[in-house]
Amino acid sequence: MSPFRISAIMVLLVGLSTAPWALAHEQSDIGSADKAALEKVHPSKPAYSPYAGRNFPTRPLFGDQHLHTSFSMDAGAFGARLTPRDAYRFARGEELVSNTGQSVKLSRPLDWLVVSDHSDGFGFFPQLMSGDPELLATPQGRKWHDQIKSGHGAEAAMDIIISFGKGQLPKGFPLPGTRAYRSAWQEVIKAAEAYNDPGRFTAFIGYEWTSNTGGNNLHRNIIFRENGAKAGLVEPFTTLKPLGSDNPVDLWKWMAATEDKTGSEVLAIAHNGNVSNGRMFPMVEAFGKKIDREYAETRMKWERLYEVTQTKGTGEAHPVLSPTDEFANFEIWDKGNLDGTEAKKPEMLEFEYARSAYKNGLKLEAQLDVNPYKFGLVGGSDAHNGLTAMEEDNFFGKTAPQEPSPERMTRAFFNNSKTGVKVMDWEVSASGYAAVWATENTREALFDAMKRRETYATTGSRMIVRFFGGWDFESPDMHNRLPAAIGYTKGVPMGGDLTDAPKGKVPTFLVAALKDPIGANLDRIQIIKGWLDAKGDVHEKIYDVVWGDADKRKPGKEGKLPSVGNTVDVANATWTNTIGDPELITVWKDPDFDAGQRAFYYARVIEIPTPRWTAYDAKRLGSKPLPGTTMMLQERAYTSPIWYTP
Amino acid sequence: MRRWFSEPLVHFLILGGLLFGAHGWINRGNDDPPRVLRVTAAEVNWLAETWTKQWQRQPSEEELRGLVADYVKEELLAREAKEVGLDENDTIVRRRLAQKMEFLVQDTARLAEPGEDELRRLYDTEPARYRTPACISFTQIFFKTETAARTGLAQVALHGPAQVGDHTLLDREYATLDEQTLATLFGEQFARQVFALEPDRWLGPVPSAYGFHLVRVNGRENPLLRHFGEVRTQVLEDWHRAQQARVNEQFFDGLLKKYEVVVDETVRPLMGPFAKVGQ
Repeated sequence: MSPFRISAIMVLLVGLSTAPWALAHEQSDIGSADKAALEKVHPSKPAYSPYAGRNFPTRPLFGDQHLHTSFSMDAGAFGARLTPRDAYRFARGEELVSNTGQSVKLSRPLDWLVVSDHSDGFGFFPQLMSGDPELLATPQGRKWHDQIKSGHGAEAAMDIIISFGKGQLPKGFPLPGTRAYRSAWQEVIKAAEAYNDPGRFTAFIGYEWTSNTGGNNLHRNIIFRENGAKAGLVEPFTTLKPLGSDNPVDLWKWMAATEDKTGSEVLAIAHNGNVSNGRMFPMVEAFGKKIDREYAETRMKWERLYEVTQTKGTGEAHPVLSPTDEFANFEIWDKGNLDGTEAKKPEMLEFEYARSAYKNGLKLEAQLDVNPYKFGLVGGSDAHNGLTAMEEDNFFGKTAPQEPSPERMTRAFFNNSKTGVKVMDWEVSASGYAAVWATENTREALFDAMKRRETYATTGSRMIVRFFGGWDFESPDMHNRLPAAIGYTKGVPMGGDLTDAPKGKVPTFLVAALKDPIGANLDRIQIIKGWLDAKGDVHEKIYDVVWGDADKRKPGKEGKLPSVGNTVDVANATWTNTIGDPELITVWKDPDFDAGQRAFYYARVIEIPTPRWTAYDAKRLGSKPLPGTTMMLQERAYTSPIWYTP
Repeated sequence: MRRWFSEPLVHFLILGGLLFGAHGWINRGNDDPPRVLRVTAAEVNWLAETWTKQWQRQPSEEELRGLVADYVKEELLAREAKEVGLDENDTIVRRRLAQKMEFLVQDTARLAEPGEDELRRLYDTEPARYRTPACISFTQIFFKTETAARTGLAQVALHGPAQVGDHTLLDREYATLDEQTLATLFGEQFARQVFALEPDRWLGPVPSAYGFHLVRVNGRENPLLRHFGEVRTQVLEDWHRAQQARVNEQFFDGLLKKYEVVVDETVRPLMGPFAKVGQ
């Protein structure tokens, strides 16, 4: 045994010697590739044989585009020890021992995963823990090292997150261009390459760009379409100046340069507008610059998707913004920004939630001719322990200390006495996943489907949701044996566009959902419409279009559909599928259509009530919930919208 | 070579060696001649390099003098601390040393690269890992209730499948699905049952998460060993993981042989996996 390697960083260095620099520069033609891909999945003419030429996506591929491992500085400090390789093994269905020593396995494998560790300080944690002299020479580095070593990692983690938000990081913090940084990135790439198995399991190469100035969350996950030979030609973009920037506009420049340099397409997925304190979806200016056409065009080029639900809350709609939406109050995080250093003000909400961004996007489109907020929807976990375990009855928490334990329901996640922002661990959500309608389980097919926004978000359930819009859907279409074939032939799928309204016609939608085979029945499908009127004001309306138990459940006064009921036994953490339906399908026509007004439509599918993870914890671990703890929920899916543009 | 010198472990070993040597030398006689702390050009290089990495420039003469002075001071203090036993019963020091050892063992395992024939051997001895899963193709007709499904089975026998069954979003035809994928679509029980069905005849009802199904299995593909070239990355990863586990285990076994773990009677029940060694 030759003792010339010691630190974890050095392990990572091994990757360097095999770095594939030899690959030639390659320019991809995005335009034509897109067109070909679209034609492939959206056949225009039906063949005689209903099964011939059926190359549209037949099943959604479930995955997580947002997972951290011990390679993320804060995750490591929180006690994460699992690596990117462990994360991929877990996602593809293997049983692992968690960071706290518990056996854990998914109920069924996922189809794909992106390990998205923070690009700032890639490999920081292994460096800190190996006692790197540069880092330990700084008071902060020394303090964190000692805190973690003496079992106060959570304090160190919060301190790291806050220092990062303030731009106060120690010297010796790994930066792009340094050996430690490069080797950590190479290890991330090698992990993805080792577990990517086209056709069976897709391991994407990616990272998270963590813009967090002042604790206001503008994070984006970056995903590479191609393999490690290409992704290895660049190093991730960071936020620390002077190499990096906290301004998304600079990230988009980096993305353009990266596509040029590597020949790999990249895309960015923003998340957690709910802790951006009014900055995620700006209307007037961002970083001192006016929102203009160029901003809108560039944002739409790179940010085709938005993560609408995850462990730090769900950001589809807010009860204050949508007071008549009875399902808006779902896993809401609205107390402050990411690190609790600034409390929330009500006027911030409009610029944080997906539905209001869709509405404001219509306004901006009317002014700028381009809609910067025309994004599709996905979910993600944002777990910081390498375990994408987001089922209510199998929830392994957001961080290592939040893995199952009798205490995890009663502790505070963070508590800022200065601002009064306090979030309890029980408020962390067991959510979510992304469903992608890809033609096959490969990096390329999944990426292309993400780019065309043919995706939906779920809060952890694996229900199947179809949503098509067109001008000619009729009721008999829902009885067709191949609803998807009709959908693709007569319309566009979720994420698509409707234009040129034929005279006298209104948008029609074919929408269907099938429950998760091991999950709960469905309560209802809703279509949510938003539009911009002639005066320039935006509106929203929610339509219940089809629901379970329809034989005995009729809309009452003012068209309100009665509740589906509730079979949850909280004390025993059980429920029964005796209410709701396993499958819902309908054709819906917009009764209030005005061909002159911009609009968007998306579907929200709601399950019957089921126990929340807190109920399983109370039952299995005997934890006593604090007053006010949410113990049940209605899981749901949100599709990407279909937009109508006059 | 240069990189070695920047390795903490190398220093540790060099210094450890020196200490050991010094110790022996000291104990030669009864006089206490001064012990040796040797500061060579290599140490100074390392100090300068570390500085350069941190500050992005070379240290000045004066700064370098400061670095060397600090180094000598730290080194002497550390030695003295060891001498008076300050490293004992210190959780942080103990954990850090244990971790260094672990890293060392793991890194060594990770560094080893197998020969092509060794990978081939792993591939040959564990073909089950590198097979495509068994796949099935089938047609299904869906019914909401079991009674309807039973009636349906009779109708299918008489008139064929065309007009039978309730409406569903599920497809009628499924081609080449493995059991895991089938389970994610219909539930585990359904997948298990369908994989056990006799081919080419309508059978059922088979219950699923959605209702009841008549199923006709049209084809079956047995598992196929995937080509070595296609799974080489996976074999290599498996080899590394196995190697790492093996090296860890061997190393620890060696330690258990090297040390005799002596425990009190009351402690024995707490020894878990080491109960057998805790005499």
